[in-house]
Amino acid sequence: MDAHLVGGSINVFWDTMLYFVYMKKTLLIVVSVCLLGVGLYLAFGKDDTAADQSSNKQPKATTQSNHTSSSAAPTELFIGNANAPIMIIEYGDYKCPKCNDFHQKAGKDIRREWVDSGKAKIIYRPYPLFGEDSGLALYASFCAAEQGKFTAYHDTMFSFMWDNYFSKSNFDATTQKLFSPERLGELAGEAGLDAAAFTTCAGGRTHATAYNLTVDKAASDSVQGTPTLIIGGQKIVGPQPYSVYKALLEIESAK
Amino acid sequence: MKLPLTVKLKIACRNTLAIVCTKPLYSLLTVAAAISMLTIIIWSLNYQLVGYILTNDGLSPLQKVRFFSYGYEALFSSFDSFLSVSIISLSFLFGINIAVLTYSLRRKIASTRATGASGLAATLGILSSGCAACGTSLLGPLLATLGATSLTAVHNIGAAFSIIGSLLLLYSIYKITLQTQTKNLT
Repeated sequence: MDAHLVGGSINVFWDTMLYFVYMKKTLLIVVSVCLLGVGLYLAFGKDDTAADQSSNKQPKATTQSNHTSSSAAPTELFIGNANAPIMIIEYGDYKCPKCNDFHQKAGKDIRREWVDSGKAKIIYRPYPLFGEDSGLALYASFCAAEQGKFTAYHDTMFSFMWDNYFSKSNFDATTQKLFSPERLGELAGEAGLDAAAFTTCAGGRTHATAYNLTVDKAASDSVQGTPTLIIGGQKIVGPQPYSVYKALLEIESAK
Repeated sequence: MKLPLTVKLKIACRNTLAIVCTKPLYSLLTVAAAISMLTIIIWSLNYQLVGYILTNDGLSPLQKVRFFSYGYEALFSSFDSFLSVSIISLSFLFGINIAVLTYSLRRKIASTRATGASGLAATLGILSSGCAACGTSLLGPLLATLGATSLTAVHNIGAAFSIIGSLLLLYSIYKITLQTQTKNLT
């Protein structure tokens, strides 16, 4: 790059700045104040996610293993070994297309590389967005966890939505009422659960407190959409390539 | 004498190509602005994560650069192909718009309407990614409540924003380059 080009680039930059300074002084001041505010917030603003993450390092779940049934009512929904060192919090909805997109792609890689090997666990938290039946399906997750088969139920629900609707680009399904306690019972039966017990549980209010408490955690974690994952206190919004999650998981595993 | 639209379009295209393709400085500005816009679109929802990675002492500069490159994978994995193409198009047009806008500002050819269109287009571009990543999860139920019956359309709202942004940028480029004096380009 010769001197003429370098000098030309400096002139372009300077001319542009001069234009804004003289012609748009007020705008420049406003933009500068806004940028300063954003910078101060990023530098010194309270990190709600990190604070909440630290308080979640010891979740209050009484069901420690997803693979064994427990007589204690579940308060958290685990995928993988509940004693795994790395915690991944996932906010999702079974009827959410992008949640399913994550589940079909990066989610499977995370399960294979990190969860199945015992290096990480996923805490799945309901974030109902698509109608009352969406909330019902998420509430019923606790019924599945009560039988020690939340993972199977979780995978069956996402597979159901993918195979029947999202793989065919039928996104209108998210506004349709798809789930009732009886329908959920049928799907739970396909997942290997006791369908009758599950249906009874899904139609009741046994786990209402646990469900509402987990949903409320979305507010403290500043969740604004799904899927949202939290790894090491860092929030990742939207379905990202597996390499993004892998980088954060490797940072966490190095701690 | 009022020129026909086809003649105006030809003039605008010729001026745009003359600015962006024949002047290395403006070519560089086009590419830099396009990449910047694409990066902002991809990472707009996760700006806190960006800050964490940038300030993480445990990562080398190369690892940090590599992390940002992962975001571009989302164009081909997390976004459907139509949305990806629309986002890339918008970023490219944004780059061209910045180059021709800078050129016109240097020559004091002010165009408030074009500048406004540029700003609005950039905003829509960033929103398109937000909608693509998870905004449909929020917009879908909201619009369904308001009476929208086709969630397929809502699902494509990210692409719609990108397309509208691209059209605004095309309008901005057209207005700016039409005012550029041909003799200044020789």
